[in-house]
Amino acid sequence: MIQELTLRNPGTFSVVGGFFSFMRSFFAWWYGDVPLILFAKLQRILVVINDITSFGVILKGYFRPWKNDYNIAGWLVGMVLKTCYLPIIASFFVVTISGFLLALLVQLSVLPVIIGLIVLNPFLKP
Amino acid sequence: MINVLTAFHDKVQDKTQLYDNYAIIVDPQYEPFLITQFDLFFLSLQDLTELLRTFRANFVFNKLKRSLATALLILALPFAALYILSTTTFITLAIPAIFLVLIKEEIFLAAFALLILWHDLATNFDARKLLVTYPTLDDFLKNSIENQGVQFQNFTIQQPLDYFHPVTFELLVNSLSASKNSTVLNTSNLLKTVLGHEHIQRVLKRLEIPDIENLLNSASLTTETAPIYDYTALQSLILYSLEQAIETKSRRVYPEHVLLALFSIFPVLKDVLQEHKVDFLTFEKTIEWYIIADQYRARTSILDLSQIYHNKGGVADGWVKGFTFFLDKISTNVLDQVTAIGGIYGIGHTKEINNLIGILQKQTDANAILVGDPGVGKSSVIYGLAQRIIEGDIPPALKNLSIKAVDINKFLSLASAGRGGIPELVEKLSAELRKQVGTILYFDDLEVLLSTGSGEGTAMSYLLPLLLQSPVPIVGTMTFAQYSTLKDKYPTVIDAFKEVRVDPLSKEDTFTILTTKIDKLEQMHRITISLPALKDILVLTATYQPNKRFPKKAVELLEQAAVQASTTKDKQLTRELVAQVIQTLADIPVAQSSPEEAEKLLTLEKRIHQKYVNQHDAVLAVVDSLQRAKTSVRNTSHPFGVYLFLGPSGVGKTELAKITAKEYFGSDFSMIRIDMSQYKQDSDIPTIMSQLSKVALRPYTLLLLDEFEKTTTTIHDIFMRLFDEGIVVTPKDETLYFNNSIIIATSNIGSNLLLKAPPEKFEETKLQILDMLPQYLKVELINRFDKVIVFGALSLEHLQQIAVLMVNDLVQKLSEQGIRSTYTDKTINYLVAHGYVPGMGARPLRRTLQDSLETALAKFILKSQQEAGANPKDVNFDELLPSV
Repeated sequence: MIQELTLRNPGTFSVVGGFFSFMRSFFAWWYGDVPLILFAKLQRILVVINDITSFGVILKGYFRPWKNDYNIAGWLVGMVLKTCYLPIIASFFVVTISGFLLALLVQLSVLPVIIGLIVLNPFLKP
Repeated sequence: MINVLTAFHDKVQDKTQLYDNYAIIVDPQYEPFLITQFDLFFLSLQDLTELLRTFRANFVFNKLKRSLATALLILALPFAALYILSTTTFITLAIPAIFLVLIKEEIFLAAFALLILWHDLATNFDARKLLVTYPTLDDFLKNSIENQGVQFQNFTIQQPLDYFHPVTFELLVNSLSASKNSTVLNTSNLLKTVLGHEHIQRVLKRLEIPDIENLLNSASLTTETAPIYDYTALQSLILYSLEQAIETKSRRVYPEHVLLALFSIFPVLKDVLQEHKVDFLTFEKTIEWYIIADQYRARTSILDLSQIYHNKGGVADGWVKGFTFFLDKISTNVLDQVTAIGGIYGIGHTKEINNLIGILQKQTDANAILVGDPGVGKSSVIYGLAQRIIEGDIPPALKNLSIKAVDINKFLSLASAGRGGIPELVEKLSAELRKQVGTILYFDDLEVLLSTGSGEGTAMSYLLPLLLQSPVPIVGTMTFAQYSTLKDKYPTVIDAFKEVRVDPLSKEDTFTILTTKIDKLEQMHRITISLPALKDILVLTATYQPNKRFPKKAVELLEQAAVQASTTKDKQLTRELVAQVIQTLADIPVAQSSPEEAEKLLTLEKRIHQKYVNQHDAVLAVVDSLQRAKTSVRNTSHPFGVYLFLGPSGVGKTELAKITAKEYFGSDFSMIRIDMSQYKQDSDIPTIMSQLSKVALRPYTLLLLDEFEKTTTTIHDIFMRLFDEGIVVTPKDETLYFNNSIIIATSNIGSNLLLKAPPEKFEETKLQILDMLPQYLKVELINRFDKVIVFGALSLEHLQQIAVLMVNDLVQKLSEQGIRSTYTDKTINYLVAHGYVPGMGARPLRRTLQDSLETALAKFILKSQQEAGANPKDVNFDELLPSV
């Protein structure tokens, strides 16, 4: 009967069971939710960088003349400047993304394992 | 707009049914659920019971875990310091090896503790999932539930408690108590627990309910109004709370929603609020405002994912789009402004914004003029459009547009400062715009262009080429009056621009706008603004500032009251303060339920009669209308009262108006007096209008129209609408409001009959006069008077009383100069004997007083000043009267 399951009979609780349940929840969060949160942050950082550096605007308007001056000089100056500018910004993006991925890799995969090993280290020594 | 429905499933009959009466279901046969367009929220009884069973154990474990992790973190600080010191060469610390191992262990454990706390923060301090904005439901779903046709497999099953803030669920669990063999939900306890929560306390404080204990011990809270249920009642309560959260557009279920649910389940609880003079709607709005404000306050950085990022273009934007040096000098980017200021724009103007979006998508003539009265929020439409662009809630063709608000005055001042004339600057601007892509030009107050310059040389005429052949869409704002001028003078502009009519906002939308101002004003002036005060702002501005439009008039009053509140001791913007501010602004004594004000009104009749003799019907009519006005039970789109006073000369028609103005409106200067006998031509209308326009400066007034019947029929017609709706429109299209005025028209119609009739035939004569009234005034005009009062002729006895009042008035004047005066019946009898002229009323009496007593008195005073160098100390009126 459902009604018998009242707060007077609150079920059993063990510290060990609670600990393992917590560890399960922690690792599910650490490897499941945290990467998603961090990737969303990375996405936002890239949006901000893209906006500040006008990367997307330049890329979309790559074949448009400098300051919209439709003449030979405008085309020429525009193309040259944008060709010089874009690789600089692109490399900036590449560095940011790779740096972030590297940090993510270390933080997510290695960090809890290392902490665990260090904590358990004295006990593992013969 | 319904976006969520509550229903239940009858397990025995396998039937679904909608219900909207907020019943608590405790019978396991029925399973309540909540349904939106895509989601079905359902909590089974087994799940609920299991959650309740494990809640306490989990709660204790989490608390323990948190304390341990915090202790490890705190301990790590001195350990880390010790470790660093031991590794430096400056200080030699002899730390035993075993301690060094412990220190290292502790530091790494602290690092792990940090991760645990992060995990704790992410999982136990917020709802597991966040609510979204749910689409409006169609009737199809409603019918499907009723007709057992819902395809439940098409819905995502959601666990309601996933959306509960942990504090909310904790409150629910804590309100359960053991009773015999079961666990019960005591709704009275729950209500008290919820009311005691800090979120609700701040709501109550903002509602000017400081005495929380009083509220909790309210007489309305009994076991009948708030009964005890089996704990399974939580199943319904959880769903109702979730429903409230969805309806208030909250992302989580907070204790506020439980409270709103309780109010819906037990409507009688609203009486608890009523006892504190707070209506439920204001209470609901306050909660809604806190939820929205909290969500906005939480948005802090550009890396906050819940905040929409607004693209500004970046450093190299101009390389592609072209530089606009001149445009940048005379304009501001509206999108940047909206992002920087924050807040919500375009409230209540969705229709206008959608209309504008439609126009801006056109291939040709994608220009618009927003036309509306001053203060209706024309600029807000543009700001609302900007916000829609930022949020991406706009058709693809308009995405990534920028709106540049041109400062017309700056443009004109640059032109006049010798930076090129208007034509040159227009050409410069056009050249820049020709290279621009994705920009909308916005001219606020386009009428400035019409009023600058003269004749053909107005700024508008110079800007015509730009307005008519602009390479980018242009949006401007104008008032109706200026728009009609534009229509007459520049029809080509009207052809190129589409009109978007901007209507005044409703009170509800204006209230929402006012709530969006709270945060900034509170921070700026360091004050607390109560929500009932905002509600009063709406009511008072609607009543006392009819010539202004929502929302501006309400926002202006709020801002002025905020400034005023910052100068007060307790820094609170309360209802009283709002009343005081509008009283000053509109020069109107605003309805207040103070005992002094009530006393003033209740004794008004008596006070008038202290200065005024007889004519009880007339006095009563005037007093009644003022009492109605003060208690806000009157029709606000009608003057306080419109009366026609009929009677012979000198019976006190004008005098009553004067005394009323003095006693109630403050002074007899508060009266607008027009002698209608002077206006016997229709050509006098402009003069009358200019007299009437004084009401704009003094809306709380008494309008006295002397000898009303002696003007023309055309002029009478003007007064028809004034008497009826309290409105008159001048030839300049200016609307004058008399809905805070008493209007008294006087006339001598039928005076001869009254003078000839003996006093005992007064009632009969009165009827005769009323019968003959249509010979002088149109019937429809007579019908517009609230009351036609016939003043009876004054008898000798009345004159005696008037003489006493006049002499007493003189005594009072003398006493103010330090002269003590006395008199006997001799003075009164003398005045009446010489001042009584049958049919002439009290006027001859006034002249007698002046000629005999006042002249003699003046001579007496001058003589004393000549002889003693000072005013006399005593004077006896009897001795001053000429010998008979």
